[in-house]
Amino acid sequence: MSLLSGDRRLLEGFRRGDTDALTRVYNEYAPALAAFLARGFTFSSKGRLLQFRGYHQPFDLENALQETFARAFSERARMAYDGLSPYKSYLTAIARNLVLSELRRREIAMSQLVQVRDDGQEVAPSVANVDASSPDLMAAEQPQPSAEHEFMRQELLKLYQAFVDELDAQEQGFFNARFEQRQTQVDAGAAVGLSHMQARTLEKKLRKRFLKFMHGHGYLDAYAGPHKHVGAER
Amino acid sequence: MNEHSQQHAPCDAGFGELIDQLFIEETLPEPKLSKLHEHVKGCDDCRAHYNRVVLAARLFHGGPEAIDEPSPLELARVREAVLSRARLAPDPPPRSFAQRFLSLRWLGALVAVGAAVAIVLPLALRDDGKPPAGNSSTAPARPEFQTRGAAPKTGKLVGLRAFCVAKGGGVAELGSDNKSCALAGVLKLAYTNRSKLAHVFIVGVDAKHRPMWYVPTPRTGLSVRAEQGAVDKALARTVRLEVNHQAGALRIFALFSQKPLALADVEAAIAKTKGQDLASLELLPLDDTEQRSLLVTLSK
Repeated sequence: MSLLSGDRRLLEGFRRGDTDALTRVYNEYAPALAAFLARGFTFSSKGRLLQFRGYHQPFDLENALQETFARAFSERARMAYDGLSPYKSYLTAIARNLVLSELRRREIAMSQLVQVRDDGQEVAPSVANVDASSPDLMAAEQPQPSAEHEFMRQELLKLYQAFVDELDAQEQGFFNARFEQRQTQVDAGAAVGLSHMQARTLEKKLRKRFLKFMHGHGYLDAYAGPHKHVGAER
Repeated sequence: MNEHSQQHAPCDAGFGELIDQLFIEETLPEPKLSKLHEHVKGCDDCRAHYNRVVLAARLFHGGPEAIDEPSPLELARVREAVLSRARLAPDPPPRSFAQRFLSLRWLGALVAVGAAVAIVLPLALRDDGKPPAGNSSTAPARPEFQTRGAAPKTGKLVGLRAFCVAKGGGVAELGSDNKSCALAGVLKLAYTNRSKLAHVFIVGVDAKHRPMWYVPTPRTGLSVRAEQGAVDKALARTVRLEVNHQAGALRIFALFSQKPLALADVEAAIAKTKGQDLASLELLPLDDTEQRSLLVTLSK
């Protein structure tokens, strides 16, 4: 039973547009919807089976997620939800329609996000007659990030490792506990003998140093300057 | 997002620093965040910078394994943007009338133009269909405030006010002097209930006699609780006129009752009025209700 169909009070609050109810619904479904938008899906257009590769750039994904929920939380959409069928499917349908209408509207700009599934060849397909209700529309099996995204990802991971390697033992201990094991600031600090206040200060310092490190290694070239405010704290 | 780019704009120091600040502080105050989002949408450089910074930030939420998933902070940013866009900020805690009088943004314009006269008179709270004590007995009756049937002995002091919030942000009360509101704007409604009636139902009827359900919504289907002693109680809902509404006349009814009204009954009452001119349709044929209505005109 899904969140909304199993909780009538929540459903009523959701239909009224109560902030608490919407927040709960968002928190429940946002991760899965983000995964769907990142993974992409297949659809049919003009008799061809096409695949939307998914959004891999963070801003693309945030934007699509925001647009989907903005539509889903509009009064009309809230009222149109029957309260019985899985809300996840309802949301996914909205996301799918949003992507397809973007594909129609920005055919050329978004062509790199689409590929033909039948023969595997890269094309810039016409999507003017996309059949949004096609039963062929389904989540893609594998995320297929672009080469550019993959390059950026690898570059980032190398720099990240280089940064961690430069930290002293206490910093590494804190970094690992706090950022990789996702411990609380208090627990991560305690693990290396720091008070909460010291842990908080160290965390901010590490963030600034990491940013400076990334700027210094050309990872953040799109915006080169001025970042003196983030440095000089080591 | 390359599909957002309409033109190239440099990621200037201001926005670049904001993005960096987002990484360090993990959040930004809301006006800055929205401004940044809008800028990034149309700026290739800033978007590239944003994407790289956000990917880096993901590493601070689970290490290398977390790089392919939006971090909790990304999801929280989107959530705040969604709620903000939908104008779904939480209702403020109850405040005194004086506080609301001074602070409600949508009353601000009225304060500026008309002071107390514009605030007090339009309330037109009446007992037994007469002007409230203190009002001139020669004051013309306002068609938007009507009582149905004989007033109960308890005395009903109920009212309805509507405010048009223009797209640009200007606020104007809709009443006998100003009935027009552009479809691009939104409607804010407020009721007063100094009576002992426990429920209120607010519905619009357009020129085609189609019901516009404001409170309650069709799914809940029953009058909502009317706050006792409420004066200018603003409905949490904001009515976006571009949704469902059409240009032309719209009459808004506030139906106060002791027992909750069912939507089906109100719908049937509206159906009975089909063919009647909205200008003269001041009451819906519903028993045991205290009604107030306002006639407004929606313009393109």
